[in-house]
Amino acid sequence: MRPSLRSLTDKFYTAFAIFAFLILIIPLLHIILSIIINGIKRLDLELITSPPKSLLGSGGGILHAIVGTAMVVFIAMLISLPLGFFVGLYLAEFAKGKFAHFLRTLISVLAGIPSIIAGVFAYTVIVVVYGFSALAGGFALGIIAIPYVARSTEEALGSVPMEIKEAGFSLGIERWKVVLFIDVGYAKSRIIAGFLLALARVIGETAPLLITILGGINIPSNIFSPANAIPLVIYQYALSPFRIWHNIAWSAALLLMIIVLVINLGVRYYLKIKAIY
Amino acid sequence: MVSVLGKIIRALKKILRMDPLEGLSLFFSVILIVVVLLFMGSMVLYSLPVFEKFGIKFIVGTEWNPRKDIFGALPFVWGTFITSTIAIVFAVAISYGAAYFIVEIAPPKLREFLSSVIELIVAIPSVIIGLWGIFYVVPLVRDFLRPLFLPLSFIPFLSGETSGYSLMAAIIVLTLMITPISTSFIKNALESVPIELKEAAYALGATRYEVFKIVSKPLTRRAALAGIILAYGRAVGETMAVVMVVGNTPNISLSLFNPGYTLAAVIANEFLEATSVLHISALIALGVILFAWSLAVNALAILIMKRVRIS
Amino acid sequence: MVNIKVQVEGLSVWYRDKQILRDICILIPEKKITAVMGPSGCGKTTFLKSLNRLIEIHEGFKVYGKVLLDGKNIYDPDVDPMDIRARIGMVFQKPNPFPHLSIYDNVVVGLKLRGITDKKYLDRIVRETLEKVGLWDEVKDRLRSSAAKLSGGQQQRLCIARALALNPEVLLLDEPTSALDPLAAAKIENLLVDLKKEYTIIIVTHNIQQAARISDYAAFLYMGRLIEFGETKDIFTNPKNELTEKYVEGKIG
Repeated sequence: MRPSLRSLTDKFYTAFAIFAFLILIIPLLHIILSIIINGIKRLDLELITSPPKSLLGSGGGILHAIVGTAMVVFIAMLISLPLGFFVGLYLAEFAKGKFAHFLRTLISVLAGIPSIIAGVFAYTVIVVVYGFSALAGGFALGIIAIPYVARSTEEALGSVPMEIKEAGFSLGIERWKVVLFIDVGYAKSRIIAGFLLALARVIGETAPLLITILGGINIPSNIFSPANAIPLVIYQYALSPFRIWHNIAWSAALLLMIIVLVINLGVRYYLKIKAIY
Repeated sequence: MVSVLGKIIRALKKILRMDPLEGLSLFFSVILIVVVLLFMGSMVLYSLPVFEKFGIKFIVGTEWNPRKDIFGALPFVWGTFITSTIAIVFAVAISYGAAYFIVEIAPPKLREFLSSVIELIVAIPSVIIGLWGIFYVVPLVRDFLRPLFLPLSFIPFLSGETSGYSLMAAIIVLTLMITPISTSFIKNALESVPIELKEAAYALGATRYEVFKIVSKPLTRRAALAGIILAYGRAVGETMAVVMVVGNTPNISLSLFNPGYTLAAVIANEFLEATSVLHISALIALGVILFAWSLAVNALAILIMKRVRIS
Repeated sequence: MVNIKVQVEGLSVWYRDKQILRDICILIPEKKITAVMGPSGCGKTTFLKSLNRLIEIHEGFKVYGKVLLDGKNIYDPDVDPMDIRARIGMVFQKPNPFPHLSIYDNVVVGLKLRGITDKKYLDRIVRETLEKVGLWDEVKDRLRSSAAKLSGGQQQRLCIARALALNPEVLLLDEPTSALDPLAAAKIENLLVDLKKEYTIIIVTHNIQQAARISDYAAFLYMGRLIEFGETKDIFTNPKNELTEKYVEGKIG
C-alpha cells in the first residue's frame, strides 16, 4: 500500500521537529563543551587566588575580579532583597485593586528593561556623584534583581494555602504575625530559592558593569573605588589580542558557568527535597 | 478646601490604623515607584541636550561622529531592527519545531529532563555566549557561510566580503540566546492543552501533526505569541553577545555579511570614552530609544498575556 | 437548667450580593456538644466562621446581627477580634498543622506569638494538651520533628491540641472527621465527648449518624435558614419540621 499524503505530511513535520530540536541543542552543547575544554586548562588555584600579572607574562589570575564580583553582587542583594521582598509581600498579602495592578505592571516593566539601561541609570545617579565604583555597579545590578525577587516572593507567598492562613488567624494572632511567622515561614524555602535565583541572574550580568565600575586591575579597597568583575574580565580578555588572556577568559567563563549552574541546579534540588507539603 | 483637608485627615487616620507590616511593605512599594520614576526622569533629563540640538534629526540622522559632535541614531536603530527581527523569525521556526519535538515526539521520560536543560541554558550569562561567538561563530561566518552563499551574493542581503564580525554573526548568537526562551513558553503552552481535546481529534483519525494543527496550535496561539514577544524584547536589548561579534561599525547596509552596530552595543562601547556633554547625552538618548522600544514590546506582551488568562 | 454560652441573634451574612445566612437565632448551651447539620452549601461553614469573626479575613463578606459570648456582642466595635479568636478555638475540615513547624511548635505557636516564652510553662502546656488529645504517647519522642510527617488522624488531633493550648472557652469544629478514615474519626469523636466536660463544643457536620452519636443539641440549617434547633434526641426522634425529618432520614443530601 502506498503511504498517503497525510501520513507523508506527518512524517515530514516529525523530521522537521527533530531537525529543529537538533539545531537548538547542538550549538548549546557545543558552547558548554568548548567552555569546558578551553577553560579547564587554566582553571587552577592561581586563577582564583592571584591578581593579574603584567602584560605578557604567563600565569596570573582574576582575584581582583572575584573580589569585585563579590562586592558588586553583595551591594545588589543589599538593595534588591529588602525592596523586592517587601514589594512581593505587599502584593501577595495586602495590595488590592488598581494599585496592585499598577505595581505589578511596574514590576513587569522593570523586568523587561534591557540590563544596559539599568547601567545608564546607575551612571546618571551614582557615577556622576561618586565616580566609577563598585557601588554604581551594585546599584545597577540591584535594580535588575528587584523584579525577580519581588515576583518570586509574591509567587511563594501566593502558594500558601488558605487553610494555613485561616489556622493562623483562628489562633487569634494579629495579621502581621500571621503573615510573618505563618505565611513567610511556610513559604520560606521558595522565598530563599527566589533570592538565590536572582543572585544567579545578576552574577553574570556584564553590560551594566561595563559602564559603571570601570574594570581595572586593582582589587577594590572600598565600595567607592573602581572595580572589576568576573564577567567583565571575560569580555575584556576575549577582545584582547593575546592568547594567554584568551585562555584566562575561557577559564573565567568556565568558573562563572559553574557558579551559575551550581546555584540553579542546587535550587532545583533543594526545592525538590523541600517539597514535602 | 475643608473637604480636601478632611480627606487628608481620613487618609492619615487610615495609615495610622494600618497593620504595621502592611505599612512597612507599602512604604517599600512606594520607594520602588519613586525609584522607577527617578529612573525614567533622569534618563529623559540627560538626553534633553541632544534632542534640543538635533530634534527629530537625532532619530533619522544617518551620521554618527562623536569627534565632530554629530549624532544620528539611525544606523543603530537599523542594526537593532535587522538583527532582532531576523533572529526572532528563526527563533519562532526552531521553537515550534523543538517544542513539538519535546511535547509530542520525545519519550515522556525525557521530557522533563529536556525542559530543564532548556531552562538552564537561558541562565547562561550572555558574555559567555559572546566569548563563544568570537571564537566559533565569527570564523564560521567568514570561512563557511560566506563561501556557501557565494552563488547567492547577487541578493543584496547576502552580498559583499566579510571579516566574520557581522550582522550575520549577531543574528546567529541572538537566535541561540532567544530560542530557548520562546521554546520554553511554547512547550509549556502545548503541555497545557487538555488531553481530552487531543484524544477527541485522534478519535476522528487525525495524525499527530493534524492534532497539533487543528487542536494544540490554535488553542495555544496567544500564550505562544506572548512568549515570542518576550523573546523578541530580549533580542532588542541584548548587549554583550552582540557587541562582541557584530563588528561595531555605524553603517546602514543591507548585506548581513557587513559589520553593523546596535543601540545597546554602542552604549556599552562608547560610554567610557565619551567626554563631551553632548556625546554622553546622545548615548543616554539612545538608551531612551531602547527603553521606549522594549517598553512597547513588553506592553504588547502584557496585553496578550492578560487575554490569555481570560480565555 | 443549662447556662447559655453563645447567643446568636438575627445573624445574617452576605457574600457580595448573595445572602448566605438569613436571620439565624440560636442559643448554644455551655459545656455541651451542639451539632450544626445541613446539606453542603447550606451555610454551615460560614455560620461557624461568623462565631469567631474568622469570616472577616475574607474579602466580600458582610455580617449583620449579634453574636453574644457570655452576653457580650463579639461584633461590638470595642472588641478585639484577636481576643475573640483566642477565646474561641477552631479546628478545620482538612487537618492543617503548620508543616514548617515542629509538633512542639504547632501546639504552642499561638502562645509564642503572644510573647509567652517561659520554656517550662510551654513544655507543660505541650504535654497537657497532647495528653488531652491522646497524642502524647505517640509523639513524645519526636516533638521536634515536622508535623507534616504525622498521619491524617494524628494531624487532626494535633490541630485540636493547637486550639486547646490557648485554653479557649468554646471549640468550633468544621467537619473535623470528613477527611479521615473511620478509625481515626472514631478516636476524634470519643475525644470530643471527653472534652465537653471543659469546653463548649460546636461541631459542623453533614454526617447525620455522627451528630446523633455525639451531640447533645442539634441545629438543622437549610439554604441559609435555621430550620430547627433542639435537643438531639428530639430532633432525631420527633422532628417538628418536615424538612428536618426528611434530612435525618437521609432524603436530602
